[in-house]
Formats: sequence, C-alpha cells, structure tokens
Amino acid sequence: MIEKILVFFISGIICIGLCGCVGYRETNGGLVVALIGIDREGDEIKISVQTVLPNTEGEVDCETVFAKAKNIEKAYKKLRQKTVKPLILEHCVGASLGNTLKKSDILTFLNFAEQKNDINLSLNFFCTENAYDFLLQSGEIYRQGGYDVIELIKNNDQAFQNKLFMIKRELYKNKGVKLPFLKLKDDEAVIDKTVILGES
Amino acid sequence: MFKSQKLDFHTVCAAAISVLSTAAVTLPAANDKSPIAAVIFAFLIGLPIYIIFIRLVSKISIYNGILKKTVSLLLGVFVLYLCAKSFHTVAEYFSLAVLTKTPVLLILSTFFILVFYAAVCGGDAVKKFTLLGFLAVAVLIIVLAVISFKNLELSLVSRPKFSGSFFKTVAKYIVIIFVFSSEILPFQKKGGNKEEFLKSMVLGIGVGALLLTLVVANSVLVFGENYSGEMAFPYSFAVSTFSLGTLFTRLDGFAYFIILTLNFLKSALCILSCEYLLSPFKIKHRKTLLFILCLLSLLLSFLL
Repeated sequence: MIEKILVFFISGIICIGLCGCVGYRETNGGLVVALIGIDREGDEIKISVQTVLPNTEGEVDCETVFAKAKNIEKAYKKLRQKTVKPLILEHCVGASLGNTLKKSDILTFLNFAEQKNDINLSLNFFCTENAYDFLLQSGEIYRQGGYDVIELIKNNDQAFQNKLFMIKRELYKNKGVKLPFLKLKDDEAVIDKTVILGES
Repeated sequence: MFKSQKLDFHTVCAAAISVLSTAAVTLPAANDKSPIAAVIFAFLIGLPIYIIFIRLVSKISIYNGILKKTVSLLLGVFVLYLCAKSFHTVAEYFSLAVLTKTPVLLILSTFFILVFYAAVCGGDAVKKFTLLGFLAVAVLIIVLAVISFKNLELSLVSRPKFSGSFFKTVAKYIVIIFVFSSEILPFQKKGGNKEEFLKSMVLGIGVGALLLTLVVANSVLVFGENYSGEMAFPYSFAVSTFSLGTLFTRLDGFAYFIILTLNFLKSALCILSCEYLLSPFKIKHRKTLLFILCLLSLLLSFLL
C-alpha cells in the first residue's frame, strides 16, 4: 500500500513538474522584454527595456521604459520598481550598447546579463548612438519591434560574433569582438559600420 | 585480457552512468588544463592500472569477521560519500540554474523520495532502469553534439602542453573516471561470472569516458577552455545556446533530463551498493536501512 501511495505521489510530482504548472508565468501577467538598452549619462547608467505585447492584428505593441542609477544593478532594480508588472526576460533577444558607454560599463553589463538566469547566453549585442532612442524608435517602426531588428542582423552578409557567450569567450582570449553599429535611416534600421569591442 | 565472451549490458550501463553522473555536470572545472586531451589521457593511463588493480582485488578473500566488517564499513562510507556528491550536485544545479526560486530543501526532499523508492524497488528494477536511462542519455548527448555542430569553434582548442598542471588535471580525471565509479564493484554477485562482470565494467567505464569526452568537448568548443572552466555548469549552459531551426530554440530541458537521470541512477546504485556492503552486519529491517542511508546521504550533501 505504501509503495502504491509513493508511486502515486512521485508520478504527481513529475507530472506537475513536467507540464509547467509550477513557476509558470502568463505572458499578460508580466511585460515581455524584447530588447535591453544601456547608456551612460554623466555619472549615471541608464538602462532601458523595450517591452512587447501582441495585438489582434498579428503585430506587437511596443513600449520603452527606462531607469537611471549609479550602477547597473541599482538601475535595473529601479526599473523593476517602475514597471507595475514583472519583467519577463526569457524572450529577450538583443542588447543595445550606447555610444557613451565606457569599456568597464560594457564588461559589467556582460557579467550582469550572464548572471541573470532568465537571460539566454545567445543574447545578440549591437551598438547604437543612443540605446534608449533606438529602442523607442525601432518599437514604433517595426511590426515585431526588437525581434525584427535582430532578424536584420542575423540575415546580414557579415558574420558577427555578437552573442553574449561569444563576446565573453573572445574577451577571455584577449581578442576583439566585431559588433554591428545600427542606425535608423528613413524608417529602417541599417548596419552603419562595425565596431571592435575589447581589443587589448 | 578477459576470458569471458559475454557481456552484461546492465553493468556496462551502470558503470557508464557512474562515470558520467557528476563529471558531466561540472567538468571542465577552473584551472583544468586542456580538458579534452586530459580525459583521453586519463582513460589511457588509468585503464591498465585499473585492470591490474581489480584483478588483484578480485583474488583477495577476507575470512576474518572483524576485518571484513571494517573493510565493508570503510567502503560503505566512501560509497555514501559518492551518493552525497550526487545529492549535492542535484541540489546545487537545480537551485542555482533551474528552479532558482524553489527552496533547496524541497528539491532535495523530492530527490530523496525518488532515490529511496528506487532503492526499495531493488537491484533488478534499478538495473533495468539504468539500461533505459543510459540509452536515453547517450542518445541525447550524441544528438546534442550533432545539433551543436554549427556553434563549435575548433580554434578554441589548444594543443596540450605536457606540463605539471596538465598532468595534475589528468590525475584528477583518473580519480573521477576510475575511483568515483567504484560503487559498481560490490554488484558482482557471489557465484556470478566474475570475468563477465569485470569485462562489462571496464567496457562501461570506457563508454562513460567516451561520452564524457564528448560532453567536455562540447563545452570547450562552445565557450573555450578558460570561460567554460569558470562556469559552474558548463555543459548545461552550452546546451542552452543550441537551437534546432527557428522552432526549437531552447533545448535546456534535455540538459535537465540528462543531469537528473544520471544523478538519480548514480544515487540509487550507491544506496544499493551500500546496502550490499553492510550485509555482513546482518541488519534485518531493509527499508529502515535504506531510509537511513538515503537520509545520511542527504545530510552529508549539506557538508560538501
């Protein structure tokens, strides 16, 4: 009898665990982040996120939120407090690095993104003049917001090693990483040039 | 090398699982030099020593009651330590990388129930499950290696420098491959075919080492030696970067399955091995003994 109860109990735990009934999050219960942006404004770090919400026309409604603080951790904490719903980072596909960032800021951000369990190690990095502006404008221009921007980088002829884990591994070897520099021209994002990051 | 022509596939799978269990989760570790070459060297150097060792050990028969009990007890403690290592690996992996908001004690309690139930089912049931579990794990490791092909960077592998630190890594891997799989040894039944068992065990360790090479190579070829060494769970993180087309972009679940299956089976094997080692003490209440052994492993895992 005890064995049968144990079998029933274990089966229940496994079924509940596998079907995702534990720790699930409804997409409308939080804000799905498509892009993260980071800039430096004087002494402060400005972190911004482009959130997406699918609408009835098969497109997404984008909203860009930002917060500023002395360091990335504090800025992110402020950002979380600012948004009423929790941020869902699992579907985040890209990170925009502003032109004003110092090398140390970028390294700190790379470590921050790596340590966050919900951010995938395949997060695509790119550079822009101003990350917040880019997130705001690309959300207005593109039907799928940040997802279309990342598709544009992926479908480009140039091979970029711009994923989070690729950047980290190249930096471990003290080698530079080629990143795309995106600019919005005539309601379209284009790769303006390439930037070498972290060459010693 | 071995007189027997037959193979016991359950032993082959159990030995392979034993080699892979914690090693597949944590290797390569920090400061490991040329880990891919180190695994291959560890197997090649360790194999002849291991065969000589088990040949010598299998000839020894202890008739002295007190000595037999002392040796059994010491080996039992070591096997319990191996079991605790698996408990610790599961707790650490699931609490840090998978179920970050779930209390560790809840994760460990569920794992404890699973291991205890498997042990209660007995050696035959566990061995059958070992066969199924190993096949699934081996297929997944191979499939993931194929999927990862486009992510791999051959330039990340450096030629091994035969320095002191490289041989230190080799020595560490010899211990992981051959010593940490020793809980299989007590499964050799009295009156059973000794040659068949030993041959199967050596083959199982070989298969385990081969799959371990594949796992380590996968991590190193994605992240590089230094970066993967810095990671807590390099293989799992490497799998999280793999994708199959545009539809299957997160294959992390396969890594969870591999790690959970390996450590669950290893723990169950350790508990059964411990039970066998404690048989000279003639403990009557089997279920109570298994429960205590599982509980000791759980408590020991907190100290690691």
